[in-house]
Amino acid sequence: MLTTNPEDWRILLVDDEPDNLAVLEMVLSYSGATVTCMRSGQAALNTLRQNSFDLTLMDIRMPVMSGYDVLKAIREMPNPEQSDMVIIAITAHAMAGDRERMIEAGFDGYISKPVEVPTIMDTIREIVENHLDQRNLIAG
Amino acid sequence: MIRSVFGPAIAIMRRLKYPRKFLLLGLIVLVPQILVFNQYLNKANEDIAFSSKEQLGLVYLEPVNELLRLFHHYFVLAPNVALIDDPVVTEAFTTLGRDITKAIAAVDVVDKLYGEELEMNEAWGALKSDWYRIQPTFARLPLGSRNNARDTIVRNSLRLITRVGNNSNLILDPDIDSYYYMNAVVTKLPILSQYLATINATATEAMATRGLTVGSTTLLIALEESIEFSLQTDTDAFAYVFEANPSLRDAMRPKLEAHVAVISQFIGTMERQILGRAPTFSATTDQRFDYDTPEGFYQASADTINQMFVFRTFISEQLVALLQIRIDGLISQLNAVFVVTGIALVVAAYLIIGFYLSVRQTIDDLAEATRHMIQGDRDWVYAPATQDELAEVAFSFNQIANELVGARDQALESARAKSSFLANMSHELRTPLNAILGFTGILSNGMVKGGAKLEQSQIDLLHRIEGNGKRLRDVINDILDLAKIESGHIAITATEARPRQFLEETIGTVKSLVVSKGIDLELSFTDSAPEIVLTDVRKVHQIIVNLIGNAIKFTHKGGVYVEVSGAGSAWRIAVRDTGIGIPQDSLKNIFDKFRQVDETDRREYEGTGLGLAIVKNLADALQGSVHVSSVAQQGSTFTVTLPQRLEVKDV
Repeated sequence: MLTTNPEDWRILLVDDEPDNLAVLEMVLSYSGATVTCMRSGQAALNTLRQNSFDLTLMDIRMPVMSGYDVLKAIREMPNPEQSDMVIIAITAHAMAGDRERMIEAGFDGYISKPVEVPTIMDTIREIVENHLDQRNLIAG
Repeated sequence: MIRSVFGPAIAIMRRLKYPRKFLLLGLIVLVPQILVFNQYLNKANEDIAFSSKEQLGLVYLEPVNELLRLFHHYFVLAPNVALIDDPVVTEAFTTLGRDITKAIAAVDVVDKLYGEELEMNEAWGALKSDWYRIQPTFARLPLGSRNNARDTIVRNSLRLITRVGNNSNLILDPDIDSYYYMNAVVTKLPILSQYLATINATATEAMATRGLTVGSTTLLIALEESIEFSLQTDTDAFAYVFEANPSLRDAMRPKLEAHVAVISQFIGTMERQILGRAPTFSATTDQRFDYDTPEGFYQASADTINQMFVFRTFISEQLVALLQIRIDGLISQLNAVFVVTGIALVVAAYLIIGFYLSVRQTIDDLAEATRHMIQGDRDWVYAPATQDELAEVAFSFNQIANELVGARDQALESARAKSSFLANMSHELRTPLNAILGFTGILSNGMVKGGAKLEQSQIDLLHRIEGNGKRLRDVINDILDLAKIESGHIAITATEARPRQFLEETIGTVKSLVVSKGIDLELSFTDSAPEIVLTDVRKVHQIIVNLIGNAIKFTHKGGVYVEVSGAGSAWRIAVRDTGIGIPQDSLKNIFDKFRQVDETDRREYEGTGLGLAIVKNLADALQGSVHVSSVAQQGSTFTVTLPQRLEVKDV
C-alpha cells in the first residue's frame, strides 16, 4: 500500500551510470526508503517480476532498453499492482517539451538531471501525492 | 544605344498592364487603318454610285430616244401626208400620233422614277408642253413657221438627251471605252438622226412637189457630206476602241459595219436618185424601195432612221453592260477588301488574345512555382510552356529556386544537426554534472549514512564546488533552450492572464539577485497597461527573467526598472537599467547567438551570450519583437512588444 511516507517506500532505481545510481541511492536511503538498484532495463524487469515495489525511478537513455521501453513493458504487465505503479523519469533530457513528452508516454513524474539533492525527496513526495489523489478521484 | 532611343517607349510600356499595352498598340495601328479603309470605302462607293448613275441615265435615254425617232417621222410625215396621199402613209401617220402619246407616257414613267435624281423634271416638262402646243396646228403651219416649230422640238429633244448625259455623269466618265459609246449614244447618233430626218423631210417634200429648189439641193448635199464625215469618224473612233479592247470587237464590229452600210446605202441612193449624180460613197441600191416615188423614198429614209436607232439601242445596251461589269468589279473588289480586312482583324485579335493568355499563363505558372517553392515542395519543377523570352525568366527562376532550395535544405540540415548536437552535448554534460552536484550535495548536507561530520572549512569548499556546478548547469540550460527553440519544436500554450499578477511573480523569483548586489528592482504599470492578455505566460516569464538577469549583471549602482504599458493592440514590457550600457557598434548584433560585447579572454562578465538570442527567439515565437536602446555608461533599455491577444494557429 503506497503512502506518502518515504520510509514506507520500496524503490526500484534504474540507471546505467553507476555514479548517478550511487547518488540517488544515497539520497533515497538517507530518507529511509528501501532502494533496489538496477543497471539495465532488462535487469529491472526481471527484478520486478520477482519482487514488489512501490516506486520506480528510471533513467531514459540506457543501452538496449531505453526508459520508454521499460515503461511500456511495465505498463503491459498483467498484475495491476505492477502495471499501475508510480514510475518517475529521472533524466538528463531536460529540454523544453521533454517533460510533456514523458508524461504523455505514461510516466507519473519527471525529474531533470542534475538533481537538486535538498529538494528531490519533496519532488518525489509531490508526485506520489498527485498519484494518490488521482487514484482516489477515480475510485470515487 | 537602342535602349536610350526607345527610352520613352520603354517607360510607357512599363507603366501599362498587358491588356492596356495591346489596346494602345492596337489603337495606334488601327486608327490610321480605319481612316484609310474608310477613305477607300467612300471612294469605292462613290465610284459605284457614279457608274450606277450613268446606268440610270441610259435607262432614262431609252424612251427619250424612242420619242426622238417618232418625232423625226412625225415631222417628215405631217407636211407630206396630204401631198403623198397614200393610204399606207396616211395609216402610218395616224399610228405615229398614237405611238408618240405612248412614248411620252414611257418617258413620263422614267422621269417620274429618275427625273428628280437626274434633274430632268423641268426640261422634260418644257419639251412636253412645247409638243402639246405645236402638235395641233403643225400640219397647217406655213413652211417657215413649220420649220421653226420642228427645229424647236428636235433641238429641245437633243438638248434633253445631252442634259441626261451631263447629269448622269455619262459625259464625265473617264473610261476610254465608255467614252466612245457615250459619245455615240449621247451626241453623235442623235445628231445623225437629225441629219437623216432633215434629208428625209427635204427630199420627200421635194419629190412630192416635183420641185427641187437650189436651197434644198444645197442642204441635201451639205447633209450628205456631214453624214459621210460622221460615219467616217465613228468608224475610226470604234477602230480605236477595238484596238484598246479587242474583246469588244467581235460583238461590235458586225453591228457597226451594218450600221455604216445601211446609212451609206441610203445616202448613195439619195445622191443618185435625188441629186442625180454619182455617189461619193460606195454603195449599192437597196432593192426593197422604189426611190422614184415620194412614198418609196420616204419608206427608205424612215427605215434607215429606224435602223440607226436600232444601232443606238445596241450601243446603249453595250454601255449598260460595260458599266455593270465595272460596278460588279468594284463591288467584288470591295467585298474582297472587306473579307481580307475582316479576316486580318479576327486573326490579329485572336493572336493578340493568345499572346496575352500565354503571358498570363507564364506569369500564373511562375506565381504557382513561387508558391510551391515557398511551401518547400522540392520535387516541383517549373516547366515553362512557352519558348519565348519569358522562358528565360522561367529558366532563371528555376536556377534561383534550385539554389534557394539547396541553400535552405543545407541550412535546415545544419540547423538540425546543430540542435541535435547541442541536445546530445547537454545530455552528456548533465550526466556527469548530476554525479558531481549529487555527491557534493550529499556531502555538504551530511547525508552520508554513518559518515563523519565535516568541518566548516570543508563544507565551504563543497559549497563552492556546488556553486560552480550550478553555474555550469545554467549554461547548459541556456544552450538547451536555444537548441530547442531553433529546432522549431517550441510549443506555445496561450492562456489568458493578468500581467499585474504574473509579472509580480516573475519579479519575485529574481528579487534575491538584487538584494545581494544592493541595487533596486522595481515593477510599474502605466495607465495604458492591459489588464488581461492572451499569451504564453511561461515564455514571457523566461524572456523577462533573462532580460532582468542581464540587466542586473551589468548594473553596479542604481537599479533595474521594469515598466509595462499598452500600445494599441500590443503591449510593452520595458526593462531599463542604469548599468554600463552597450556601445553603439555592438547594438545591431546584440541579439545574435554567442555574442558578447566584450569578446576578449580578459572579459569581466561571465555568460554564454545566449540569453538575448533566446529572448529574441521567444519574442518572435510569441508574435512579438524586442528592441534595444542604450547609452554607454548610463544604461540600456530592452523593450519587448507583444500582441495583447496571441493569434492561435493550428499546427
